[in-house]
Amino acid sequence: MDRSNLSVPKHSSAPSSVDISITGKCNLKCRYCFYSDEMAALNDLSTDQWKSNIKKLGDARIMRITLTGGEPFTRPDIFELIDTIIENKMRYSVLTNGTLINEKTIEAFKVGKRRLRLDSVQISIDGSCAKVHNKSRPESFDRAVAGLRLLKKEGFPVTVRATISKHNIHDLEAMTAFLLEDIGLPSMTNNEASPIGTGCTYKEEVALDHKEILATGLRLEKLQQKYPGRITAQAGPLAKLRMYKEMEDARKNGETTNRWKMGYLSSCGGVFNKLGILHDGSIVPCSMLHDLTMGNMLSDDLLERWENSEVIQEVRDRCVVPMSEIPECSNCEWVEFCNGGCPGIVQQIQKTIMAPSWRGCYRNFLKANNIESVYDASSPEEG
Amino acid sequence: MCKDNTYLRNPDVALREEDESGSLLFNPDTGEVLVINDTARFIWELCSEGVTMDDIVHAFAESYDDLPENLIEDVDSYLLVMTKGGFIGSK
Repeated sequence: MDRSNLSVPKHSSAPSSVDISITGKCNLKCRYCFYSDEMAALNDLSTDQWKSNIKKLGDARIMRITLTGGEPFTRPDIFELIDTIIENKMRYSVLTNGTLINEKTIEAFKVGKRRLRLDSVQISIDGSCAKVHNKSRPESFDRAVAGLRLLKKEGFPVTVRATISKHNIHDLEAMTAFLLEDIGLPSMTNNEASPIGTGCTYKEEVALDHKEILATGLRLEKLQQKYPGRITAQAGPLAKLRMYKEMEDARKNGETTNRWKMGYLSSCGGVFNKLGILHDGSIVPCSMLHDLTMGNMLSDDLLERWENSEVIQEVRDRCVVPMSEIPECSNCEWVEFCNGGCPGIVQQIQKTIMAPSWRGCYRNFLKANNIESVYDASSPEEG
Repeated sequence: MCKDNTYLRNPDVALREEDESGSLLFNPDTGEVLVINDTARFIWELCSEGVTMDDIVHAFAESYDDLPENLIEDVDSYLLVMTKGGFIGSK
């Protein structure tokens, strides 16, 4: 295919946001953690090294930092690092398991501009009760919910992400009611456990198959109707069903989506305005692409790497690779509409980014569910 | 805007250069972003030290040959937007 008229969109002059894994240490051992192998293999940077790196991010005019891990609150210096973010004119969010949040944490957040500059605290909750949640996130439900309730009570911008797996698919309705009604969260988001990292070791135990994706997605759609505007998903069953419907709409009515470039490996736009930094300072295109290192904050210039790294440019270049050039896809009737799925999952499973993710394949999804269209599917209650 | 006011940058606001869309100001206290053109950028630069409306108009006259007829109204509206968003302060 002639690609001469195709061009890769221009990336921003600097990333607008950066995800920083400030530690590889975690007080939990979740059954689907995609980052577990790297935690053991890499050493955490010191406080001074992180403070220096955060200053570099401020100098590069990054606007937002997301602190992740490991578990960010295992670092005793976390508020020192947050203060460095504030001093360097940035805002921040925290992704946490919630188990280490207590009254002292709340008081610490109240110092200076820590609260003012906080975009959100996201806690992972995977069930309506300890029995369900703890299957994925052992011995943590009570502490996580206590942390969540505390933040909610104090009026913090707190959100919850539920990771859907075989462990909790039977609990969706109860979990949603627990979070949106009992706890009273304004909204929640969900994704799914992927067979990468620890999730690969426990693949049979956690990862959903195509039939479970369909059944779960339909139930989540019903929950969306019950709680309008309060359940969102960027990945997982709900997001997949929405994507499949957009593919159907494009094929039948020509209603192309603006969320990806149909027929190209174009699912990921993150590499045009975001970056990730691992807990040893490695610069990566995304935390899901943590084995594709672009450099290290300790020795490399972030903006030079953003501009010139062949690693991130290759991920950006995916968006002009036609699905029709991929041998396994060339004869697929959906080739003009597909986007190839998340490059992070492809990289972790197939060790290349220039391929589609079979876990998101619509053709396989239809075949496994023995249906001709996602619109033909109905929830179990409807028959 | 008041003619006698002095305008000064909010020291917490960051200026970000963008290749195609010009520049933008980011107020980390509110999360608000303001895309600015060359005129607004010029005003922003002047506000590194306290300046009045007259100072700003005078600086434009010294730096550019062709001044738009409605320069004062333009400066006034830029100052209003930047003040409202907390990107600059006035007293």
